[in-house]
Amino acid sequence: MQNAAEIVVQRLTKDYGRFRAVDDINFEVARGSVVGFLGPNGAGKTTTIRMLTCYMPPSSGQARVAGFDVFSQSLQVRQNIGYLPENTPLYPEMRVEEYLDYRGKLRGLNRTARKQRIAEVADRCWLTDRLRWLVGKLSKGYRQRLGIADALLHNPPVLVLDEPTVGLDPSQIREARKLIAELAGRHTVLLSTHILSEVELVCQRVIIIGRGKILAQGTPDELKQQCARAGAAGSRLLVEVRGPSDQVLSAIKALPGVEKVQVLADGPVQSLAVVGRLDAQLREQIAALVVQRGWALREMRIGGATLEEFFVQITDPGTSQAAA
Amino acid sequence: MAAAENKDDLPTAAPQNRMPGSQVDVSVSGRQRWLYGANTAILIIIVLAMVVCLDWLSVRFNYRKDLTTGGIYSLSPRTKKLLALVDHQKKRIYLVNLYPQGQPQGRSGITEFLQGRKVQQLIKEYSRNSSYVREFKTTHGRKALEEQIRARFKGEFSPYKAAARQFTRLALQIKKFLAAEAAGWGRLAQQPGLTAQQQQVALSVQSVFDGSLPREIARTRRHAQKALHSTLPDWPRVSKELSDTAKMLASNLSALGKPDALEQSTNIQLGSAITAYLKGRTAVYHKEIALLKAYRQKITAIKPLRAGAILHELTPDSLLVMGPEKLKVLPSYSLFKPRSAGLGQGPEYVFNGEQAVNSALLGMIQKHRTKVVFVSISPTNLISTGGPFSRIAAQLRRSNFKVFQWSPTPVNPQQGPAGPPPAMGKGVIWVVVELPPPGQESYLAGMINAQLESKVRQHLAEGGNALFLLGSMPEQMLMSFQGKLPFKGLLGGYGVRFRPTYSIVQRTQTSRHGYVAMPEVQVSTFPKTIIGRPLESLATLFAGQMMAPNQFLLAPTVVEPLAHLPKGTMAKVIVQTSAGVDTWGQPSGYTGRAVFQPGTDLPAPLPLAVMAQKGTTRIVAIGNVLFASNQILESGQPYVTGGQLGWVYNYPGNAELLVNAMYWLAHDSHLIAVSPRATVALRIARMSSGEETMVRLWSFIGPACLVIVAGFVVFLVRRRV
Amino acid sequence: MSRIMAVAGRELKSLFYSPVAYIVLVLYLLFVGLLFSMLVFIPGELANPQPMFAWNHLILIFIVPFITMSLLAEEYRSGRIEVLRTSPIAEMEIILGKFLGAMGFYCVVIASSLVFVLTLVAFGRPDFHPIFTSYLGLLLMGSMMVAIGVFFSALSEHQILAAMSTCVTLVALGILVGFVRQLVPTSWFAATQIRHVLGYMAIESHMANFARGVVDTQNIVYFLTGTCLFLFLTYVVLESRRWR
Repeated sequence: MQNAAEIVVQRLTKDYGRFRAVDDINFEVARGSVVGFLGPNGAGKTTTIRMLTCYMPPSSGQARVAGFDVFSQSLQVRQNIGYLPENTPLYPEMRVEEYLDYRGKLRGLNRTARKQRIAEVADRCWLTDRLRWLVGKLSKGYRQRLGIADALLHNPPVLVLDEPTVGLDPSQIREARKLIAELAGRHTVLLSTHILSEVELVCQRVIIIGRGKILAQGTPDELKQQCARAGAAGSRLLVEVRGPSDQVLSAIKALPGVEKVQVLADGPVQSLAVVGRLDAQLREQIAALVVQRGWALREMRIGGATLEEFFVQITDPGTSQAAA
Repeated sequence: MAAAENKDDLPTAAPQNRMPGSQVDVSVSGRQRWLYGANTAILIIIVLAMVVCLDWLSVRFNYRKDLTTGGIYSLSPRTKKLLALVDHQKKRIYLVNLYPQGQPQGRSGITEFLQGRKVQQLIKEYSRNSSYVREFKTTHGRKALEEQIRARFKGEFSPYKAAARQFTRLALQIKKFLAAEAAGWGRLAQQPGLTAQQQQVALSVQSVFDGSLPREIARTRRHAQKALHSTLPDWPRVSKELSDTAKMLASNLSALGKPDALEQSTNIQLGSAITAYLKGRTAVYHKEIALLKAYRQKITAIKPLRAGAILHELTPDSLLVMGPEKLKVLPSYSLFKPRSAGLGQGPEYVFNGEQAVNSALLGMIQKHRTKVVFVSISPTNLISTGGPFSRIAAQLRRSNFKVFQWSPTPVNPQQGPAGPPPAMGKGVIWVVVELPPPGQESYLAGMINAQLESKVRQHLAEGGNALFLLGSMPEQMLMSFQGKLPFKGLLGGYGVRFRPTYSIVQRTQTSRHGYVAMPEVQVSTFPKTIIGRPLESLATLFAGQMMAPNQFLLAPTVVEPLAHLPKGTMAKVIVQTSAGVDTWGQPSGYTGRAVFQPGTDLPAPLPLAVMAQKGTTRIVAIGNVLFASNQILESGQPYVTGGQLGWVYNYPGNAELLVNAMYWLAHDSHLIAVSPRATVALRIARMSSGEETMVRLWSFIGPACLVIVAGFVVFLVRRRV
Repeated sequence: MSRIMAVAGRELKSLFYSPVAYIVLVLYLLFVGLLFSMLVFIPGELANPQPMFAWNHLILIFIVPFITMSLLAEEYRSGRIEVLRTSPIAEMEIILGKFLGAMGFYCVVIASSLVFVLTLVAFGRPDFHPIFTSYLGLLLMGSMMVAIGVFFSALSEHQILAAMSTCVTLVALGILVGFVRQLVPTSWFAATQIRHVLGYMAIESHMANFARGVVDTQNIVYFLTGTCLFLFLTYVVLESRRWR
């Protein structure tokens, strides 16, 4: 099987005392793909990742990484995984090259391999000019790069990156994303994040997790479609009008077929989301209303589904019931 | 491309071959944690039990190796042999450490505490090496210890008990006699023809026999009976009473039984009747008196009780050795011998415990005591108090020898020749003092020496062993021998040669530029022989007296093995001077400068003592008469510690060497006492107080400063990119 | 093995990069220097370094906690433990690596006292055999002390807490047990046995033999089993963090 799953998770559960952090989740990650692991804070992302990287054993269920069981073949799993934990903890008193050398030794690389790999990952993570620096003196961005370089050092088939772009400035974020995108194909990457744009940019697949359960998974497009489908059923109309806000709101609310109006942006120009029977008739009615009142209609379109909206929708406790 | 792959992957059914056991057990995690916890707890308990077990086994079956050079913390092989002997005789011996246990109190307590620890370690070593030597812990309480001691001296009481029992029998007999006598005197008083005064005397004598004497006897007998039936009677008091009563009876009988004594004491003419009666009874009276006297003698012959004395001696800071029949208290001064640490220094204490305990053990397991006879041409006192060899004689007695002295010279020539030697021949050691001992030089050596020599020859021929104390001789004495030196031939037969024409001297500075050759040689190196080896760390002196510049008396002389040993003999050097130009052998009569003169003088190293053996006969020849004399043994300095005056001996090696030689001569070389062990460490060189402060300051501050500098350098280096 | 050495090497280097190492070394040298100049270096006396070694544990009791406090506690606090435990290295390898790293530094500390031995050699000749056994004893004693330190470092996320608990334990084993032993009333049941056990537990009583120059299997077993016990307990603690 060429496209074998590199990470297989089956009925994985983790309890912290009475609190169930991860609840019976199943998913797979195909070899060579970049998968976004998405969820709000406290959703169980880090717990899942820690189980996959053998930091803690699952309470029940199984997980296999690179063909090895995380519980019974923990050492092999760890040998085949490159892991960048949240916040990238490092040894501040070491030099960058010393740190990488040490990590290489821990992974059982011999001297020549270490030398070669350090040069390689330093080059790849734009660290070459910082090799002699003390880790403690590196900026946040460089530390993150060092973390990624460390994860890549032994050229593992699987990379697990936990929030790799947190705390970086925009240009650094761009660089990091570029780097991750480059890794696709050569490595299987599981990227944990709560930033949607990142997922859209670099991931081929997305797994959304919330309160310990998998809420949705698929390619970003699939999810968007899913979102759109949800929109078709009872979708909304985005309207931008210039006019007195209370009048505009009440007027549109009064139109037949309108169920609910959300104010997205208030001011001289209002941006409204209209929910209701969104047929052509309503659009024409709104246009007519605006013209009739002498307001200015700036924009009117059927609300396109963004991943963000979808995410908010399904992870919001109020709506999750509907999504599930 | 990627999307396509994803689509292929979307089906959730995982490949079955990758996930064996599709049925995943989802257990309650609380139970899981409990299981983990219980597992871990059991594991910890098992490991703890294993650790405790291992440690217990290691205490039970430990192996210890003393890695100090010379093994100063382990018993010497000879002590081990001695302990094997103890075990062989199956004699249970207890060692009791009476040093205060626990933490030291105050500054003066520290020495005591450290000494106590050393003693404790020694006791441990002994009990480790023997199954019959045990430690008796004082923690059981002093009372328990006293009971132990009394139990050990049970045998001591039996003569006292016998005496008490005998007294009851004696009392019966005497009472009968007294009753008969009282009757006799009564009848006498009734006889006609007595004056009133005479009658009075008879009646009063009768009342003595009838009343006061029997009363006394009854009282004493009561006390004796009581003592016999009580557990711990005061035997000395009881025995004194018994003896006093017997004495009183005897004196009464002798006063009353003799007519003239009676007459004198009463001042009355006794008259014929009484005198006749007494004459007839004299034999009976004498019989009774003899009986009483014999009884008294028996009581006084009983040895004084030692248990009491021992209990009295049980001071803190001592070590008690309890054998089955004997007890010995080793006080701290015999366990820790002060030794001079050099001029202007306090004494240093040499731990002598092993030796002290060994000699105590020896006294307990060895009944037989080898006889040692000091033989000299001088008949004056050698070995008792005041004699020149009294100190070494005392030491030999302590080491289980019996010491005598003998001289072929009669003390009083008018009373005829001297008696025979107290002991000679097999199993006896003679210490032959070849020259008149110090203070007794008036005895001429010449003729009598020949007599002495023939006696020694006989002694050796009968299988005896001998130690010779030889010395260099002044010229006139040499001439008196007319070339026929005494003992020369005798010693030659054992492969030993001595050269009294040479005195061994050492160059000593007397003033800034003045040097003088003194007949005093301190030795500290010993060839490896059984006698000399244990002495390596002890200062040993060979010395003579200087009468005038270059005129020596009893100076050390050269004693060496012959170049060609006679067949069947063995001879080895025990002691020799160290090499160097400061020591040499100087011919007598020489009056030159205090410098080694090549050609006439003998160069160092010079042998000073030799051990030799031919068949089973052993001799040791030491080239110095004063070697074992009080003069050297007592030399030392007083010191004050803890408000007490003590004495530090300068040359502890001399007595050691002599006693070791004695053991060898007695064919008891396995008992050769172990010398106090000392480390091979040398002393730290003396220096001026300035230098000392410098070194102290450096060692206190220097390394720390270096480390700080090193830390700073590392900090700077690490900062650099 | 190479992984153990990697961890050990890193720990050792890190210790030298931190000021703690130098403070510890200076404290040690000052203390031993004091012992040396007060008790050992007395011109005219025998060159006997025994007191210097016999009292060494008094300062080591306070030094070892500083060496070991950060070993695992700091890893927990900074989160590096996650990096470490997701590396292909077994728990026991981590513990042994940390232990050996600290031991390496401990060896440097005790080896620094060789300065005084050399000073002694320069002015007098000591017996070298007891010096050798003293260092052997210090090494064994140190291994137990360091193992105790590693254990407490694994228990806590706070270095100071780890250092303090190590220190308390070492003081108890090194100093207090000896005193408490004296306080056991003889009236107690099995008082002598209790005294024996307490005496056996005291570190000092086991070091004394080595300092004298006597090697006893009993002392070796005590230190080695102590070391193994605490390393095992550390393992249990580390392992239990996974499922607790």
